Amino acid sequence: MPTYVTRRLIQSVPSVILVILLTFVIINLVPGDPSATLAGEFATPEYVAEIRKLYGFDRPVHERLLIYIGNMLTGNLGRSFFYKVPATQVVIERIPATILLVFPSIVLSMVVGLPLGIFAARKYPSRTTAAILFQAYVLFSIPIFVFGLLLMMVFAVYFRILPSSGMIGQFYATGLERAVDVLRHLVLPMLTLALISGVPPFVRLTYSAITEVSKEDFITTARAIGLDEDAVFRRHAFRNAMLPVVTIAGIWMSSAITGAVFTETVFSWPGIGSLLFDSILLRDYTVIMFIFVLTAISVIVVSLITDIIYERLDPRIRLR
Amino acid sequence: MQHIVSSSNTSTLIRVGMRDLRRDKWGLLGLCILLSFVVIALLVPYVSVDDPWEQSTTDIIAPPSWNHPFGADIYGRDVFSRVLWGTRVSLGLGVLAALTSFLVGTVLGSFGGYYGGFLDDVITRFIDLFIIIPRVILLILVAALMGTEVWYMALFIGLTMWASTARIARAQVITFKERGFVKAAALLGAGDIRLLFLHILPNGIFPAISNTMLQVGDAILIEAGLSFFGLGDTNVASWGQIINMGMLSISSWWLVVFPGAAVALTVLAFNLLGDSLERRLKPRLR
Amino acid sequence: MALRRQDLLLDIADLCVVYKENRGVLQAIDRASLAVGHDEVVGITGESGCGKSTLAASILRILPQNAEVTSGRILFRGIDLRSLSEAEMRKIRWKQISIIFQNAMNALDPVYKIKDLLKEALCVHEGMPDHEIEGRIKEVLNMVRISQSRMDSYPHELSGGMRQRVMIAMASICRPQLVIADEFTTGLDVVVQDQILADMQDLRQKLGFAMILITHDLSVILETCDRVAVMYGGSILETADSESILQDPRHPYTRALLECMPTIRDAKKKLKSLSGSPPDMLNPPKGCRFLARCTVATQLCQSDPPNLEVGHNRYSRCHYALEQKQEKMRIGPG
Repeated sequence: MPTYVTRRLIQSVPSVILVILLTFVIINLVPGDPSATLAGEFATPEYVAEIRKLYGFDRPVHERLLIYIGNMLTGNLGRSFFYKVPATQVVIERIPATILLVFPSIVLSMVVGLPLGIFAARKYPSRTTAAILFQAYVLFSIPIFVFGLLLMMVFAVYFRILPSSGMIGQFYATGLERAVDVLRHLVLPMLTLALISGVPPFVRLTYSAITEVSKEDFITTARAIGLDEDAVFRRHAFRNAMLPVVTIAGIWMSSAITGAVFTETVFSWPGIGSLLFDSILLRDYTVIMFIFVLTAISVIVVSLITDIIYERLDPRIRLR
Repeated sequence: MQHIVSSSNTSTLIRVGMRDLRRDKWGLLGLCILLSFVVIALLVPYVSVDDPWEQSTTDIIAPPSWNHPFGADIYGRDVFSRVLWGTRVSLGLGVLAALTSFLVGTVLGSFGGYYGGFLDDVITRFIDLFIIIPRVILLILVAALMGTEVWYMALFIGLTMWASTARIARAQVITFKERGFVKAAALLGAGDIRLLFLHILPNGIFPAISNTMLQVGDAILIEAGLSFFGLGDTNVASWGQIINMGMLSISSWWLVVFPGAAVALTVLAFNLLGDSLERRLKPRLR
Repeated sequence: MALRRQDLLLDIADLCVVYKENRGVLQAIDRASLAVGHDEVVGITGESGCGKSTLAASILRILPQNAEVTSGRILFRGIDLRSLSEAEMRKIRWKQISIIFQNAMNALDPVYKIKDLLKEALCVHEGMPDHEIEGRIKEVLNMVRISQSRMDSYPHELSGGMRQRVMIAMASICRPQLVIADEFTTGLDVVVQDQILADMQDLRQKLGFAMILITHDLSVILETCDRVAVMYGGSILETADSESILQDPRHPYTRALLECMPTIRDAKKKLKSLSGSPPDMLNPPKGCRFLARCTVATQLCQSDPPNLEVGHNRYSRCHYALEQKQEKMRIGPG
């Protein structure tokens, strides 16, 4: 088992390197003077010079690459022009808020999505199944920011029962009051992220996994043995169907992060997403770059973890 | 002589796929919605609606009325006509992005699957990478740095979506590489490129096509998202941009609902069609 | 050797089963009748698609959702299985009647160890203390000649032959009265096939169950079975004991099958085969099922042949079954 983990870890390294290289390629492909462009439209000449020096735009390409990789490894991407502190710092400060949004959303998505998918699969073929699947299609087609805005319009602006933006309304509250305040602010963004980015993929995936597994021969064997339908499902169909669900979780992380970016923007939730939005307006490229690299690497890590979990679960892989 | 050994069931598959489409209610629904949008996109220049660029100082952020069925935006422009014109942008961009993705993905995937070895390893690595990384954030970086003209955006979006098509193409090529009719053609002297493009791909391409259909929907969603972030092409009327204005003035629901519904319906149509195609073609290919 | 009706373990009478598909209703089994005594091995043979597996599934009532038994009786120890509730049927499954499937790779759940699969087969029915469970598992593995060290293995770690043995072990662990083997040696190489058949005989001696052996391999049937039923187009065309069916077949189809069997002793000659293909069960032809491919058919054969009793427990669905001198079937070269 340790060999599998180490093997996967080693496999992930080139991916990380590729991400870093990709960013390098992009910033070097910009038309015009790269340091000026990277510094942004609002930059001062000093800042432009700073950027030029840091990224080595005054050096030939091969030196530039080395400098760049060195920068990445030491976490030195330069200062955010707007915030005047290192870009990395700006971003890292906002991570907790994003985690606070994303993780409960994942949990909610699974709690709602898995049972719905299972239910749809077991009731096949029926109108219920069709209704559930169609809902999943529809939700998946709505742009997440539209849904967020709609929720906000209905619940925060029209009915005024939930706050419309931010994470904190009462600045001086502490303890329980503070917790409740944050929770109230969390409701709408979490619902948005879960219902659009999370629930539909889980429903569709669980449904197809169970439907596929139910066609397998060992399900017939289970019935022939004399198990009742519940036991057949619990002991055989479910366990086998959950395997592909785990593999998808890693890939899905990517769309969850994207969804979080839009959701945070809509609700002004103070996480990485809204930081990204602000940085776009301000043309704060160092921050944008770091957000990309950070999110890309996190997704690679998550997919590594899900692969390891999958290896533990599926005996066919385990004993390679 | 070239086609003697080619097991072309392409035309049969198309006929069969189309025939069953009638029975697939959801696919039909998707097709209907899509056709409506296509009709709108094609006819808009010939129908007299308000000029989508005409600004007005009296109708700033006006709610829907007889004059402006969908209301007006912050420049006083008619939202209804902007939504209609936006159809052209979205469909055009979506198709262009999906085509780019299809071409790049199919070529890379097929080469990797066909030649195997080191080339395949490298390509697979890239495929895995592009499937996983958050595309939108990458596109934000690219768009912010390199400009936001519509056609470039379509291209870039396509260049981030190629991976799933590549994976499918690669798997299909690997499967078909060993089939009898391919080996027969090879024995008759067909070169690699010919084998790939005249024999393997015409038979294996279908899962990639249904995937590409889904990607048109994806591309439209991504473009809407980027425009929403302010990274859209201000020279065209795009649904995402209208919604962007809607966020700034939150009580103007018409700036969100109408373009939002347009995006949702279009994407829904492509999703339904794409999945329906996939269902139809899957059992026959086994 | 005559079997009286009340001595029968399994008595299937005029069974009809249909499959409801998108393109129409498929008549999978059309008035099939079969009898199995307490200590008999009955073989069912026929071409692919003739309904053998459907018959097996019907007995255990594990047909797919779109299948329906439209008429007939399945008497097991005097009780009509069709009249039982699902809960009652579950008590009969495996404990009294078990089944061995072809292609055990997919028939065994890949996420469970062998010992857990066996335990599940056992425990569903008998509430046993742990040590007894383990004892039974070891005992049955012994009987199929699988080493104890394999108890903790997963199905994908075993060879094809071993997986099949595991299935046999699972099927025997509850000491059923009837074991149905559905093409259970198909796909294995002949040597392994031989071994497994021999093991099966041994097992029968020790545990004393009746068997229904379903296979399209006529040679296997003639070697191992007491009686044979020949199935075609959803009907059972002829039933007889193995000796009689080899020496004196009373149905053109049986004769054709026997003719097509290559023998190792005869002079080398071209392989023979039966021209044509099995009938379309969506629109079953009127009259004798075999009419289209029978080379000795007459006008009379356009009406449905009755099931004629040709001898002691010998039946044949042919108008000419009773005629002593049967014309040789004209079979072409392969």
